[in-house]
Amino acid sequence: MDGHEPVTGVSSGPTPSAATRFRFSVGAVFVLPALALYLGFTILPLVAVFTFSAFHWQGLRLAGFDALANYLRLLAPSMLRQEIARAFFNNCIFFLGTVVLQNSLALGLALLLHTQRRWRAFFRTVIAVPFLVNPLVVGYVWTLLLSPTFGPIAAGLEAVGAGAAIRPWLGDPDWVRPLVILINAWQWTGFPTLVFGAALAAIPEEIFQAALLERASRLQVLRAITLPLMMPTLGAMVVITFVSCFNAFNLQYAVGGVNGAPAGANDVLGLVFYRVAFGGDLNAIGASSALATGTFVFTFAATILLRHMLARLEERVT
Amino acid sequence: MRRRTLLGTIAGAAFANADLTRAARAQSAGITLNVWSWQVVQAPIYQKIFEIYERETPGVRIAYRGIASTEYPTVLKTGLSGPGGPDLVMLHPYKSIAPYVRAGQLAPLDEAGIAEVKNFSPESLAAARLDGKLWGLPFARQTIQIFYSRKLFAQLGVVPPTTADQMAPLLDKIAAAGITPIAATGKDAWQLVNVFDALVGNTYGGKAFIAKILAGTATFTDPAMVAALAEFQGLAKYFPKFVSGVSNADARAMFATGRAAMFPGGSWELAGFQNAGMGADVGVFSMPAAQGNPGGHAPTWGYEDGSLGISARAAQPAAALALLRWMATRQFGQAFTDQLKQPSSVSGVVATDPTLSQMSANYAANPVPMIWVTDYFGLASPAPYAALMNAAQNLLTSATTPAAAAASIAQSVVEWTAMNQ
Repeated sequence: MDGHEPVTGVSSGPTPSAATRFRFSVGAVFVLPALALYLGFTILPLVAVFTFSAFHWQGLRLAGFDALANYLRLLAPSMLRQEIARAFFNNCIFFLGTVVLQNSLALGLALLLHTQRRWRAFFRTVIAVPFLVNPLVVGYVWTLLLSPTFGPIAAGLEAVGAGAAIRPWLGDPDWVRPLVILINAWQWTGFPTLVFGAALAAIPEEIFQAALLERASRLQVLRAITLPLMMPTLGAMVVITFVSCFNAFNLQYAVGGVNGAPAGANDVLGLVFYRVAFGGDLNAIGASSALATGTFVFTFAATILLRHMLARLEERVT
Repeated sequence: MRRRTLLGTIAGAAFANADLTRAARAQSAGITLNVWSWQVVQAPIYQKIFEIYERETPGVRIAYRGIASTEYPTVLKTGLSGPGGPDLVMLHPYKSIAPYVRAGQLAPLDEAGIAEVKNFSPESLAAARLDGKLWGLPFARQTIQIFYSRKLFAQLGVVPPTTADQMAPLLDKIAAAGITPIAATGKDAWQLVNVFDALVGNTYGGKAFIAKILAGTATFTDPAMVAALAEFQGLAKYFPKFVSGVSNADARAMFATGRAAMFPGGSWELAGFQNAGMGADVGVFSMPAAQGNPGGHAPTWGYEDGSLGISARAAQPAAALALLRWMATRQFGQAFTDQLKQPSSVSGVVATDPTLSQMSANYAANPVPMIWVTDYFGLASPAPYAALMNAAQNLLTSATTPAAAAASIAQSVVEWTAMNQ
């Protein structure tokens, strides 16, 4: 209730409907700029891409309505479908590796930093620095570091008599996937560390003290108090990781180029989209829009499903 | 459409000879012509070359804009549609012009009315032809050959091969001396297409095989192509150690620092080697053909790097055409070759750099079009260009066999043809 609400039936002030209209008008004034930006920069491009996918294009010229033909072309047995399937698989591997490695590492670091008060700010900054760097730069730097010919890692191994351990690394299909997950974790671990640190700080200290009075071990505190109370944050981080891994492009592009080298082992849906959109296809707009729409629908649906599963898990744990 | 018709009329009627070109130059006083290109770092050099034209054509100012090659197709598509776009545009070669042509964004050139067309060979002009019309005039050609270190060759007492059977002993002798014979990348797939044609193009048959492919009387699963892919895989032992992880920058550095004796690559690499301290130490040759070299000239692979076309929305079409015609003269071609160190497409231009001049002469003597670029270019699957990249990388990591690699290229041709019909 605010001061504008009439207390009696006396019509001495604004009527309820007038007050509501006034509040709505004021609210609209504040909301409209953000709504316009949201509609203009988020919804409109999505609708445009969906619309483009229903047409056949010749360059920038509309060549006719195509209904679902662009989607059927992506699904028809072809080398492109094989590439999409391989890229999708790589995205899944990238997500699984990242969610396990990056978030576990971040949780461990956040717990460590939570107990270290003296150097906490310093280490938080150190851990966070890599994610301030552009992923393209990170990929390029690691390409140089991991060069088997001129790279310092290979030179270091050679110097200590471990030259036999040198591999083609980023040029080896078996090595490139785990290495890209590691490089990505190296860059991004700082972000979940900060988020988990904030979540830990929000847990009342009294709960931990009560547990200690009950002679609970550190592991018991972690399992029974810390993790359950951090579940909403952990769940949100899993969803963020999922979305970022299915929108991956920069790092894979820097490491393996536009074709996801070596021989597609590093290919992801973002790179396939890039090739379809800019690869010289006359109908590039139609085909790439269909691929973008398909990827968006999958990511959106999977995110909702993931959120739902995590919410149920959260209920069970807490 | 009205603009295109107007431009066509102007192109056909007003520019029949050089006198009229001068007249058009005089009429075009007080205007700015916008030239868009994907060559960013070369912008100061282009601007310097354009100063010659600006001096000769008072009142005309040329604004050169270099746009990063990765963004160029996108920027160009929108730039050619709206206001404030370019007058002259650098176009990628062959079928890459199709999206702009089909969208009516380029003005066709009237060949009969442009005397400078005769300054280009039919092979060069093929890079700017589509649907029976000419859409641009070529500016540079690239040729793929094998660079070698004269100093290392002299130290080892070897010379470039003149017959195909001299190659294997040459490679073995270099390897025995503890030097990597061929600096090739295995990581940067785009360069593998060049490495493939430079080293084993003769094995699949060069010009004769390409003619059969285009005529539909041969496919990429023919024994000749399988043999070429097998030979490429066999040559991997002469490539750098851990080749699949070696980038093209690493391969370049190996050659420039004397750790490797040869580097198969394009003419655009020459200036880099010379500037890296090799200077006149860089030599060049083309791989001799086993079946013999016609006229003593080894087949040499190459392609046009692109052409310059006129926007259908050019604000000053007559002045734009006048500038384009100047860029097709020997005066521009010579300045282009001398200052940008790239082989000009204009006939008769001789590079002052002796190595670049030799590269041009090798290509002119027995040119073979790189079919991957001239007819099958595309980064997206099912482009055969992309299929060869992946096949070559898989061969280097033994993830496929030559026969399977050939089958994947052939399949990409089938799908590419269906998609582009």
